[in-house]
This record gives sequence, structure tokens and C-alpha cells, in this order.
Amino acid sequence: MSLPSVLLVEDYPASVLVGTMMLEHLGYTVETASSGPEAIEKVSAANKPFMAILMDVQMPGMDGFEAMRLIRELEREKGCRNTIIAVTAQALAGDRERCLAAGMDDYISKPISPAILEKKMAALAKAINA
Amino acid sequence: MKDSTWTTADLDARVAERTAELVITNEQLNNKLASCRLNAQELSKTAAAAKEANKAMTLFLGDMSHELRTPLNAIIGFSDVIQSELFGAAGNSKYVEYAKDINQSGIYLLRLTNDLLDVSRIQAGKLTLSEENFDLSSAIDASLRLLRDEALARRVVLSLDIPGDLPFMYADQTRIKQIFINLISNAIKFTPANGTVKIGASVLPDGAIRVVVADTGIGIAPDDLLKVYERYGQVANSLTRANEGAGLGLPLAKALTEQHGGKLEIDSAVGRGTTISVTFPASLGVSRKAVS
Repeated sequence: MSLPSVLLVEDYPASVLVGTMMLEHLGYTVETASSGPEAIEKVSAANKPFMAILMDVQMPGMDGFEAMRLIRELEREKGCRNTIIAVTAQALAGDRERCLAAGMDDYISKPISPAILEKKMAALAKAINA
Repeated sequence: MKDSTWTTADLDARVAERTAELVITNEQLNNKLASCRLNAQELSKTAAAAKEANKAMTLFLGDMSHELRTPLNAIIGFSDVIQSELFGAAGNSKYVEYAKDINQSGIYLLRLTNDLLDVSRIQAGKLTLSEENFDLSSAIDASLRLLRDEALARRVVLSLDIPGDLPFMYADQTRIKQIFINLISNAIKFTPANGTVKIGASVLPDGAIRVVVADTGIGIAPDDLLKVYERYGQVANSLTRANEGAGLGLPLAKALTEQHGGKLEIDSAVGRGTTISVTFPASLGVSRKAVS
């Protein structure tokens, strides 16, 4: 059985590295995309949904919300569903509601805390195995 | 009859005289009106320019804070990985200590950056509250927990005096915590080793909710106290520089309190310490029974 995979969408290389390190340490397979279009490509090419897509909200060009909407469209065609988690730098209460209202499944604020990441990923992994 | 003729001529003359006077006055008024219109035009132009400049500044601050936070988040993340020795021992315990310092400095900078963005949001009238019911004493506890290490490092004692029956609040929880964190963090920063920072909370007879942060720190001079009450612009210019590193915490706490319809008051004396109280209107209180 292959390890659950996570797609990390993030434009800032150093943050990609930190995120990848944390996720791999937790035992997940990590794929990365440095932009919205690249993320859509990865989702389109994948033969099964990712356990989670960590989606940076603020990216140059296509932002995380737009990328999420396009992935949701793709999902309707493919008949699957990814758990998309918004990653935003604005750790404000209002942002959480904004993310969920826009169609995100969850929300993590930057800087990503290893403890919170572990908890969220473990809950998702458990749901998959259940 | 002669009298009456005379009177008519006299009246005519006076009417003519008055008319001439009125024409002059009218002309003067017209001139004034024109210059007022010109002034108004100038003023509205200036106001529009100021508004534009303010908007540009807010946009710039927003962009800048994103640019600042992006690398900061990476710095905080990497130092977190090192200090927790995620991939094995760092080899020398000093490296772990350094990573901790990098991490804490990064978090401090991030907080400052976020404060800066908030001030720009408030100035632009763009800060909106997202209210919910929450447990006030838990919010105070959570704020304290975040600052316990800082207090420990500075050997400042944190003492808590909160009644068990403190009500819930209907307010923006994140913002209320931000007020507490800013006030307590400032209190710790300006209190010398072995000093005490006391955090108290109470409900006033009229139902208003008051949270008090009192320190035994260096205090604020009366002149600076006035500045604290002024808008951020002046505060940012002078106060923060005088008290290097004070950040925007106090004016931000004040603005956030006021955004909730509350009031922030400072009582301070140099060398004796500072007591800051924030009082929220009774309407924000929610009885524990109503929530449970």
C-alpha cells in the first residue's frame, strides 16, 4: 500500500522546502506545485484524489481560490473529491469563514505549525483508512 | 404738500443710495461666493488627493507585509524544524538554542508585521470584526500561555486574578486576544526582572466587562502618555522610537478596543508602573447560562 499523498501548492521555494520536510517527516508522500495552473495539472494527471491539497492562497497570477474553483470543476468531471486546505498568512478569524465559504475544506494559517499539521493530516489519514 | 414732495425726492434719493450700496454688497458677496467655490474646489481636490494617497499607502502596506511575511514564515518554519530536531540531533545543544532564538525573533517580527498591516487596515476603515460567542477567561488564558516563555525569560512573574463566573463575550475573539496579547507583552517588556505583571478581570455594576493589565515596570512619562492617546501616526513617529521596540501594540490595542465600542485607559507613573484597563460595554457580555 502506498503512503497517502499530499499536494503542496506554494510559490515561495523556501516555504515549499519547509512544508515538504514536515510532511515527509510525518510519513506522507509529497508532490509540489509552484503555481495554480501547475496544481491543476497535477490534479488532472493524478489517477486518484490526494489525501490533502495544501493550497497557498496568495500566489502571483492565479491565486489559491481560483485554483481551488478550477480543481472543483475538474473533480466534477472526474467524479472524485480532494480535501483542499487553504494556507494563508492572514491569521484572522474572518479569513477562516471566507475560506470555508469559498469552498475550501479547511484552513491553516502560516507559519504552518508542525503540531497542527500533524493533527490535521492524521485526522485525514484516519478518515481514509476507516 | 411741499413737505411731502420733498419727502418723496428724499426717499428716491435714499432708495437710489441704498440700491447702489446693495449693488456693491451684492458684488462683494458674489466675489466671496466665487472665491469660496474656488476654495471648496481646491479643498475637494486636496481631499481627493489625500484619499488617493491614503489608499495607495494602504495598498503598499498590504503588499509589503505580504512580501515581509513570506520569507518570515519560511524562517520560522525552518528554525522550528531545527529546534525540534525533527531530523535528528542538531549535534550541539547551542545550535538548538540559536534556532530557538531565530524562531522567537521571527515570530516577533511577524507579529510586528501583522500589527502594521492592522494599523493600515484600521486607518483605511477596512477592519471588520467577525463576532462570535466565546469564553472570556479562556481567551485570557490562551493569551497568557503564548507569553509565558517571554515572561520566564525576562524573569517577570505573571499573576492572574479572574473570577470563576466571568461571562462569555460576543465579540471578535481573535481581536480581543490580540488586545490582551499586545497589552501583556508590552507590560512584560517594560518590567524589569523580578517585577510582576498582574492580569485581572471583572464585571462592573453596570455590566461592563473590564480587563486590567498592571505592571511594576518603568512607567510612561506624562508627555508620552498624551502621545499614546493620539492617533497611530504620531505614536508611531515618536513613542515607538523613544521606547524602542514598543511596536504598535498599544495604539493597536486601543483602536481594537474602540472598534468594539470599548475604552482603553492608562494610568501610569514613571518608576512605579503602568496600569492599563480595557472596558467593554455591557452589551458584549453573554451570560454563561445563555451559552451552555
